[in-house]
Amino acid sequence: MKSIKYIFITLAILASGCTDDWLELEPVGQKLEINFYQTEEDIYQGLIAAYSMLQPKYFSGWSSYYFLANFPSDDSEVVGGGPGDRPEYHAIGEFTMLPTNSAVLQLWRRNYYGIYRANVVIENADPSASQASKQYIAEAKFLRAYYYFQLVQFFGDVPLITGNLTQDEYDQPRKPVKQVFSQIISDLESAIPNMELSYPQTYRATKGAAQSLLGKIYLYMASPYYYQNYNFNLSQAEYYQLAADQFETVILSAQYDLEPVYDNIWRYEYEHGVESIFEIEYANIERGGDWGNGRVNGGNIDVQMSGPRSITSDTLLAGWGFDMVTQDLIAAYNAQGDTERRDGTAYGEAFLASIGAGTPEQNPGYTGYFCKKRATWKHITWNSNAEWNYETNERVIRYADVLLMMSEAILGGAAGNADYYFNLVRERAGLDPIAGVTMDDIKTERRLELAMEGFRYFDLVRWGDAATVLGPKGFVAGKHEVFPIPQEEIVNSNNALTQNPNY
Amino acid sequence: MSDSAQAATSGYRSPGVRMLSYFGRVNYNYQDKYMATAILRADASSKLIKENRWKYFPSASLGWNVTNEDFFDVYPISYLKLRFGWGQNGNIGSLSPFEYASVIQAGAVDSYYTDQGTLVGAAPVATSNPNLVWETVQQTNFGIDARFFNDALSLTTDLYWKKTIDLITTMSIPEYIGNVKPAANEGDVMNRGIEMELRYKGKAFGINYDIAAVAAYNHNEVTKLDGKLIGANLGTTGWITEAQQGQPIWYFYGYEALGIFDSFDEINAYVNEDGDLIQSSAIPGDVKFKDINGDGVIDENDKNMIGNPHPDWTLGLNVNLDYRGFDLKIFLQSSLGQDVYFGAYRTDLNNNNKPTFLYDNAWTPEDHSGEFPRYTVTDNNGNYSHNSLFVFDGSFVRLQNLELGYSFSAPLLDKLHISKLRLYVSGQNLFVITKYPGADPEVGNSNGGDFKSSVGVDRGLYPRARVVSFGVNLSI
Repeated sequence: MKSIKYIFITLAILASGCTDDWLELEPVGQKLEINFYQTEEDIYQGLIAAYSMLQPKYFSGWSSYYFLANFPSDDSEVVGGGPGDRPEYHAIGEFTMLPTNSAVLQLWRRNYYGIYRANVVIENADPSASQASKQYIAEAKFLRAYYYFQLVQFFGDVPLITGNLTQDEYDQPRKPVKQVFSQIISDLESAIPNMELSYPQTYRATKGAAQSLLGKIYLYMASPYYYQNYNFNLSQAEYYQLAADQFETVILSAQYDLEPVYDNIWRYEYEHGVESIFEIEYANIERGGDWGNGRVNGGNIDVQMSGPRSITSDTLLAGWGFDMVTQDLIAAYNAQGDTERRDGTAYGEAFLASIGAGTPEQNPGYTGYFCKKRATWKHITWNSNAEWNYETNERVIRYADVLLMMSEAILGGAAGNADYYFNLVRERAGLDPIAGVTMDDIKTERRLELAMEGFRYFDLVRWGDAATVLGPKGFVAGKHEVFPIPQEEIVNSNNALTQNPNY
Repeated sequence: MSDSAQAATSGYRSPGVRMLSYFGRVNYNYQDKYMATAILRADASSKLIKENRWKYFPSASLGWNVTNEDFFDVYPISYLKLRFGWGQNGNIGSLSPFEYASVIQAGAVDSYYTDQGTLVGAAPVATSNPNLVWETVQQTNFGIDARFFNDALSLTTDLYWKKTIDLITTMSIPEYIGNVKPAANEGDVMNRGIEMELRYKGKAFGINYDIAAVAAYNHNEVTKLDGKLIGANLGTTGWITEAQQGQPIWYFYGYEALGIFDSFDEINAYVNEDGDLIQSSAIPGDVKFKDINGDGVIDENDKNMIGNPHPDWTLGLNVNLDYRGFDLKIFLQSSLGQDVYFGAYRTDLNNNNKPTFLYDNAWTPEDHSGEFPRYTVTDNNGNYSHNSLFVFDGSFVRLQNLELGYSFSAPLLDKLHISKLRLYVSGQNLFVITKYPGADPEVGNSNGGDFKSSVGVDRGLYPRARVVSFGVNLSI
């Protein structure tokens, strides 16, 4: 007969007197999103977070939005410590960038993180609440437009996300440039009426900034490469006119003028000066910039990157030797006798010798000229962690750019006097005015005026000149007008994204 | 129940994590011959959304102690037990609180640093994933415990199938969603294998022996996964590990190298169907990559699995001997069949910090026998893109520990009023037998909390030290 020796039963209730409510925790010192974005202050904080994504040039990896736009141009040579120093940057400058290039992925990320944060503000703010709320929404739309314009310039067709996505919406296809531009235009058009001409808080996007950006979008749409490839609705002349209308409003607003001395435009002391329309802020603040902080940094690391290697001076600190000015650009200045803008854009060994800084380290590709617009002035950084704390703001839109774009739009068919706007810029540089300005004059003038500010490569692409000018540098027509879509994104979208041609 | 409060760095205090569990167990034992246990537990955690919070985890085990059967009397078997077990357990240890909900943070990464001061912003910390559920580990095993010769020799063997269901890892979603990726349940992983331990304890010729040998074989495979999971990043050219159904998890991903181009003739002969060069940027001394998909160009679609970071066998040998006051301990360890990806070269430093083997064994114009690409700072061919040239067999045998000691005998010590005196010399990591050319074949798998996706990637961490120590143990 079967006998059960013992059966032992344990029933342990490890928590006594508890219910499910006990498991329902609220974060401490943080808020759940469903409880946030209730007050005007919440919306303001959300907007600041959208602004903060303008700053990262190191975002889990080196990825300067400025370098990525400037390295492919004929104004810049990557250099640094040599070809192996930041290979992801060298690949950009040599047109050997692969879909796995880490800088390209981080640039893409930075812009979509910015868009996400702008979307959060636009979705959650109540436009009827207050004038301040209306302004915050307008600024968020400006930022969304800026980030999307970056994406179009770098990648062409991109996913268009304007709100919170649920998990079944994560696989997004790329949307045609035409559709992305429509979104940008509608954002800017709805933002402009709710923006002021100026704010005491100089970082804020103004009406003039939004109008300038909108004009620039129209100018891009009118430009040969964009117009031929992206199938827009209106005629080229109509887009030129739309662009000119915006630029004219900016000009007539009487908010802006040219900085009398070209060399001052990029000086720290002249930030948010009379010529400034929109800047990305960088600041030297305690605890702001340090190694390992990643995207927390408030300083402009490209300044450190651009300084001459291994120099010593009381006024100019040593940097890492990147983004050197090409001799081709120096020659372009010399051909015009344009010494003022040459010396405001670049400095060379003669200048270094004059301040007793010694000779910089020379690595393959060394040109002898460094970027003055991001000069490593000692007085504009912090005395410790100087690398990470340069205060130089990036001038994203300035008045001279608007004047030249106005002139270009008029040459394209818009009403107005192209020579007038063109020569304002030219005469500021101490050069003789030109009568009967041609498109070639505009192209030269834009290069000389805006060199090392991140416009040249995009200008060459939109004019359809990139293959001719950049061919010797490795540019392949039909491929390098845009960067590769990050491979990781294609995989993680379950192939909803497609790669750009020939990558 | 645990209610632990953690202080975090940025002025934010975690509310802690709460767990609630109910646990029931039934034990049955019939005359120490037949044993059975059944357990049912229900676990809930505040880390999961209310709807997914609770889960039941059952388990059961059966045992048959054969030696307690009256009919069983077989020399030299002194003990024999057969075991079977099946059970599930939940795991959400790697989750942070509130990954299921969107939480707002006003932190350094949300602030705008302006000339007019730091403006504090606020944004959702990360994308939320309300669909998170428990990761379940389900294990089935058959085991035998046997002892022979009056328990002098023992053998333990287990066959196991360990399945991780709804593996928790970083969600494989695109960056265009616009925020930090949350954790997600991304698939199932099976580990199956056998573990054996053989141990002999005894005494002969005045020597006391205790010798144990362990051997374990494991096979790892992702058994369920939609699409691909991208794993750890390496350098500036993308990810080095990934996961896909039917493959070991976090296998190495890259190009297959066919060797080194010796001449322009070889480069010019490597053409596609249209007669175009497949690697037009290459020069002699560069790596020749395989065109896996045969489309005539080398691109992302030619990357493939190039290595498996998981060992087939892990072995260990533990020897303890003592003889007339002398004692000797030996611990040998071995791991066989795993690959290591050598990722410790730095292309951002031209003249420094590259291991000598890459240089000594590099292709040169004079000597074409080198298996690594030419030594250069101008590389238009992508010689250092992730490829099979840098996958090495990481198998090794390591003398983990060797210790020899002598204890003085009691009569001598009594005179000195000392209760114990032992002198010893010990060496750790005295030798490693391996074909791996890097500093240490055991490369660690840490990747900043990235769910171990960096396993087997040599990032140049400090290798294990070789330690030799002399010591005295003295007790009064």
